Order: sequence, then C-alpha cells, then structure tokens
Amino acid sequence: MEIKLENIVKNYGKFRALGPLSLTISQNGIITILGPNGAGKTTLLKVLVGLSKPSSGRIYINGKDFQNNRKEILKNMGVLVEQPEFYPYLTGREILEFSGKLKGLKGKNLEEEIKRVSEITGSLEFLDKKVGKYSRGMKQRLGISVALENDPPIMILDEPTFGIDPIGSLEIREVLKNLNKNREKIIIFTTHIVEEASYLSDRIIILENGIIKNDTLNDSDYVLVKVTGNLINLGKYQEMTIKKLSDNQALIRIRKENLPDFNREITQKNDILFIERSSQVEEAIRELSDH
Amino acid sequence: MSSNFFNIYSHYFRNYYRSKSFYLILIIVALASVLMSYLTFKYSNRVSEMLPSRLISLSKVNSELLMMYLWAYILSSLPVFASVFFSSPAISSEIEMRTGYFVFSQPVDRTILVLAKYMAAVTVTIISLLVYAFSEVISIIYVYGFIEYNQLLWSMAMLILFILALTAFTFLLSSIFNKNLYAYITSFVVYFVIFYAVNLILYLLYNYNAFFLLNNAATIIERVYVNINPTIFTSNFSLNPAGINDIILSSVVFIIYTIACLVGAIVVVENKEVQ
Amino acid sequence: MCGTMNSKMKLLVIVIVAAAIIIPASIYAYNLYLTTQVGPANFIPSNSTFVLKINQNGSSYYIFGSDKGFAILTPINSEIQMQKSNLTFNNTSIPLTKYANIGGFEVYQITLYDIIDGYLANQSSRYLSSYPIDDQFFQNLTNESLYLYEPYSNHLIVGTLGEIKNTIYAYNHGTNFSNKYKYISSKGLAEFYINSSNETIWGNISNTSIYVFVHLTNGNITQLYNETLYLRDLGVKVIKLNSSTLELIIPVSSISKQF
Repeated sequence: MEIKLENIVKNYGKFRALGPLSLTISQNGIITILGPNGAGKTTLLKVLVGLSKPSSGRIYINGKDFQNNRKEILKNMGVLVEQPEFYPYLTGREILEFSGKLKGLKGKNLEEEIKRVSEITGSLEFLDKKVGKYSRGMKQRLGISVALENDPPIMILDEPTFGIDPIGSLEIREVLKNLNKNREKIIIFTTHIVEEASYLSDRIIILENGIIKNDTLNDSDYVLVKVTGNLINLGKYQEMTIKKLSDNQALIRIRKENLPDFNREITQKNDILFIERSSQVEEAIRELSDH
Repeated sequence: MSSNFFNIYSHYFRNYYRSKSFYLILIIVALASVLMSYLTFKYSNRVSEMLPSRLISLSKVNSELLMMYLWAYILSSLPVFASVFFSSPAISSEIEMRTGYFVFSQPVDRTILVLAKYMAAVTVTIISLLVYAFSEVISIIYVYGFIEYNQLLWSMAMLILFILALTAFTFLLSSIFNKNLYAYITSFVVYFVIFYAVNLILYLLYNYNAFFLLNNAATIIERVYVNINPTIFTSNFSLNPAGINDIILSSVVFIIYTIACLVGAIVVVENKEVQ
Repeated sequence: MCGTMNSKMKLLVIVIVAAAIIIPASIYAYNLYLTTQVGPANFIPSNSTFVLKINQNGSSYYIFGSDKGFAILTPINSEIQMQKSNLTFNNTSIPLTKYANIGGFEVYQITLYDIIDGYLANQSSRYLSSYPIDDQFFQNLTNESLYLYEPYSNHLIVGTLGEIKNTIYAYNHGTNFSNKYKYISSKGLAEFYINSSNETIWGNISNTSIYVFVHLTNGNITQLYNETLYLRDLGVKVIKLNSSTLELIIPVSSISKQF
C-alpha cells in the first residue's frame, strides 16, 4: 500500500494553509501528524480524504489518482475527521448501516460487522439510541466504529481520543495498537497528546505553518519531551535545538552521541523522555521509570 | 448506484420524518385543513359572493369549483413552508451541523447524495400535505355530494410538479450558504418578497405577466378550477377552468426550475469545501 | 465508468444535458405564454385581412375579419349588457340560444331577426305604431344568425360563425394577432390594419391627423412614392421610410377641405 502526496498546496484566498508539501507513506504502521494549532494538520487530513480540494498538487493512493477514483478509494478507507456529528434522528446502528452499505456490506455480513466494531469501541450499549441524545464521547466512539467498518487497510483519524474520558482514551489507544499489531494497515492520525504519539507511532511527521518540518523517517535524532517547567531552562542544553509545540510541549533535537549525557541531566520528576528506540535508550527509559 | 441511492434516500427520509420539523408542518397543515373544512361546511352556499360584483358573465357560476379554488389557493402556499423546513437547511446544515464531515467522506458521489436527499425532502413534503388533500376530498363530497375529479387530479399533479420545483429551488439556495439561518431567510425573502416585487413591477410598469416566476406558475394549482390568477392585477379573467395550454406552460416552468436548480445545487455541492 | 470519469467532465456533461433541455423548453414556454394571454390580440386571427380598433371613453372596440367573415370584440358596459340569457343593447333585449361548446367556449346564437324585432319592439311604440309590421317578411329577410361568446371577463365577440370559430382557433393554437399587435397599439381615436398578399397598410387616426403606413411585401416603394407625391399639394406629408415602406401624414383639416 502506498499514499503519495505530490506538491500539495491548499490556499484559502490569499492565505496558504498547506504546502507545498510532498509526502510518501509506503510502509504500514501508525503515522502521527503532530504540530501546534494552525499548523495545517486537519487541513492535510481533509485534503487526503476529499473533504477539501487541493489548490494544486495530486494525491495518489496505491498508484491511483484520488480525484478520479475517489469513491473506489474511500471504500477502502476508514475516516474520522474533526469531531464527528451524525444525523440526530437516526440511531447509532442506523448510521453504521448507512455507512456499511456504502462500503458494500449487506445482510448478515453488515449485522456482524456492526456488532464487531461496536464491541471494539464500546458503543454497543447505546447503539440503538438516537444520536441526538449522545454525549461527545459517545459520538466519538461511534465515529471510530464507522472508521473501523469493513476493516479498511487505510485509516485516517483526526484526534480519535478527543472528548473521551481518560479510561476510554486508553482503551482506544489499545485498539489502535492492536490494529497495528501485524502492521497490515496504514493508520494516519493526529493528536496533541505527546505520550499518545510516542506510544503508538512508527513514524512522526511534524507540521509547522503548513509544511513538513520534521519527519522521523529521515531524521531519527530527535526526542519528544514534555516539560512542566519553564522552557527557557532547556536552553542551557547547548547541543540541542528546541522547537516549541505548545506551552508545555517541545521538540528537542539532539545529537545521538549526546544522548547518555542528556539522560543524566534530565531526570527530574514530571519530565518524560521519549527517545528513538535503541538499547541505550531502552536503558535510559528504565532508569527514568524507576525514579 | 441505485442501491446506494435507495440506501441514502431511506436514511434521509427517516431522519426527516422523525424530526420535529415534520410534526410542526403536520400541525400547520392540520390547522389549515380544519379552517378550510369549517369554511366549506358553513359558507358553501355563499362562496360566489367572493366574485367581484361587476363581473358579468354568460357562464353560470360553479360554486363547487369556486370552493375547490379556495382550497387549492391555500394548498399552493403550504409547500413553501414545508420546503423552508425541510429543504432550506438541506445542504447548509451538513456544513453548519458538521454532518458533512461524516457523509462527504463516505464512498459515494456527492451528486447521488444531493439527489437522494432531494427525493427524501420531496417525499416528506408530499406526505405532510396528504392530510390537507384528504380533508378537502371529504369536505367537498360531503357538502356537494360529488367532486370534480378531473380538475382535482390536474390540481394534484400540478402540486407535485410545484413541490419538485420548489424543493429544487430551495436546495440550490441551501447549497450556496453554510449557515441554516441565511438559507431560511433567503428562501422566504426570495419567494415572498422578490418574486412578488418583480411580478408587480413587470405587470404595473410593462403590463407583462411574469409567467416564469415560480409563484406565478404555482397559481395553476388553483386555476385549474377557475382561471383567476391571484398574482396579477388584471380585470381580464375567466370563470372557466384554465385551459390545457396554461397547464402545459406551468408544467414546463416547473420542469425548467427543477432541472436548472438541481443542476446548480449539484455543481455547488461537488465543489463545496467542508469547513 | 462513472467512477473513473473525471469529476469535472461529469459536471460538464450534466450541465450540457441540462442546458440542452432547458433552452428549448424556455423557448417553447415563451411561445406558449403568448398563447395563454387573455387580451384582444389573442383572439384576433393572425391572418385577418383587416382589423379596426376604435377607442372611445377608455374602452376599445375591435372589428376584424376577412372576405369570409367578420367579428366584433366589444367590452360589456352600460350600452351592452348580459342579463340571464338575454343580450341587452340600448334597452333592447335580444334572446340568446346556446349553440355549442367550441374549443372550450360556450357559443350562443342570435338572429338578425331577433335584433331587429327587439329594436322595433322597443321603438315601435314611439315611431312605428302607425306602420304595420309583417313578421314573416322580416323573418325571411333576416334568417341570418350571428354568434357570440365570452372570450374573457366583461368582453364579447359577436360575428359570423366562421369568424367566431377562427377566433377560438386563433386563441387555442396561438395563431393570433399577438405578434402583430404593435400595428394597432398606438393611442389615438382609432387604429387600423389591412393586409393583402402584396402589401400591408396600417395607421392611426388622431384629432389632428391620420397616419398611414404602407409596406410593400415585394418590390420597391419608389413607384408608389412618386405616384403619391402630388398629395403634397393637398397638405399631405409623404415620407419614404425605407426601400419598402412609405408614410403618409394627412392633416384632418385637409380632408375637410376636400369635402
């Protein structure tokens, strides 16, 4: 499977929201799109699933042009973009029937698939209530159920754990991790939660002002650090470049050979360090967990 | 493609008939039916008094046709309210209520989506007016002993064409806006203010009957009984039912509106950004 | 095929097909609209040989026809009234008989005998009481019938049966005077229109002048122009409008001089 974006640009009037951006995803796994608010994450996902047309550039899924094969491609895509809303007078089951039939499911297969995806997301108990009475979290679970229908090989998820309680969020993370167990799918998702990104991702792409700033596929020397202290304090680490993602999230790029020193410096409580996998790194994480 | 169409149609239809708007329309229609039934029972023998006193005619006044004209006159306004409730927010609500994120990312042509939702809106509008039509038939048969079936069937056929045209028109307006409120207001203003103003200006200044306006064409629903056009200010009218040419003319106008507006809505929706 | 078709192409096809239906339908609708208008022009046959419009007291009366028949389109007012199944004209009451429903219109029949009889009945007490009236004589002489119907509210068309049928046909089929109404639409005391195979003459009469336009179907107006030049001596203006149309402006005073 392959997703290829060639020179994608998206303008809203004179404002450039995205691009020029080129990206190829040819390895299965979970790919996280990370970036501050306004970086263009949701715009990228919207362009990828056809909710928004790119101002220029092309998208190819498995070699097929997305614009000309939209329907066929979306049949094999599970999509959850923005916080989903559904028709308020239909039940969750009817929504799943609606989307399931569009993906080619019918009869007994459809019933079984509805049961399967609802069980995975924990939405079976409220499936026969009208969606107008759902809470935010219930709608999110229903949205994930819709995305899971027909076991698509490509999934595009925009903040899948948004609005879900902490326990529920952990459950959803495990669902995604399980889906990725055999690396049979390409799962692209966005999140603001650093732990989620690091816990799940095989690849992280950082967007800033609509363009790709970092991609772990090409640049594996970086770590994600969540800090609760003043970010200025991090400036004392001379060998690093720091990109601030939000008030308490930063992307720190350090040279690999500095890693052992770096680990020894940052062992303060509440600092969580996530590092590219290696035997040195695994040891450093264990040390941190013990503290 | 047809199974997709039916799937989408049936789900939208369900969403429509379970909605509060549908019950509100039913109440409005029921109220209108009760009032018209009361009028029929109480004033059937005085209905010819509504004609101008200076009207001199060879033809004998058919009081039943006049009464059915009044029923039809009200009936031709009811789809406007129904279409505002069902069709005005049809596309704009997908953006405002964000259901567009769900439905436009499904593997289905937006054209099919628009057409299926359109047919669902038409169906639910027709169903909501059945109460009125049923009351009319019962009241007329009870009071007059029989009903002019020929004219009734023509009137109902024109009503259905009008609903098709009006729903398409409001779908087009809905597709232009991203907010329901703007779509509601525009639909009302265009139909009740702009159409009437254009009609008035063209007739008073240029003595031109704007046959191409939807509200003008809709008068055929009542004119199949008595050829009095309530939207133009002429002293030339006839107590005969409108002729076949009038019926064909209004039908063609309805068909043109239906096709043009549906195509317009499809073009807009196909290019619509969901944001 | 639909799936692989470029979406822009698909939209283009939809728009073209829609235009291919809408454009001819609009033209058809407009032509149909002209036939459904209710007014005098819609009942005067397009191929009338002559049409005369007389304007009086805010009402217009039309007299039209051909060599096969004639009819009058008149408003119903204080002079002409309908009461039950009688036509009342200047206090003279004439009985109407239902003749037939032609093209959706109820056509009634009156005989000239009835008209004259009615008139005489009204007048006889004042003028003719001393004259014996032979009913049989009048009946033989005036067996002709006139026919009338109501084309639209407050108007009547009265004429020969053939012409009555022509007016109804002209309305129902759109073969009426609506495209030619411009010939008789100027505001004056009267307007007229005469059509033959070679020429069309139209004009209007005001308080001061008579305007006459002559248009030759084939041929050059120059010869006619030259032949009418002498009228200038009589105070008539002769103007050549183009190669086939001539205008004559005849002051009313010059006519009265002649007579």
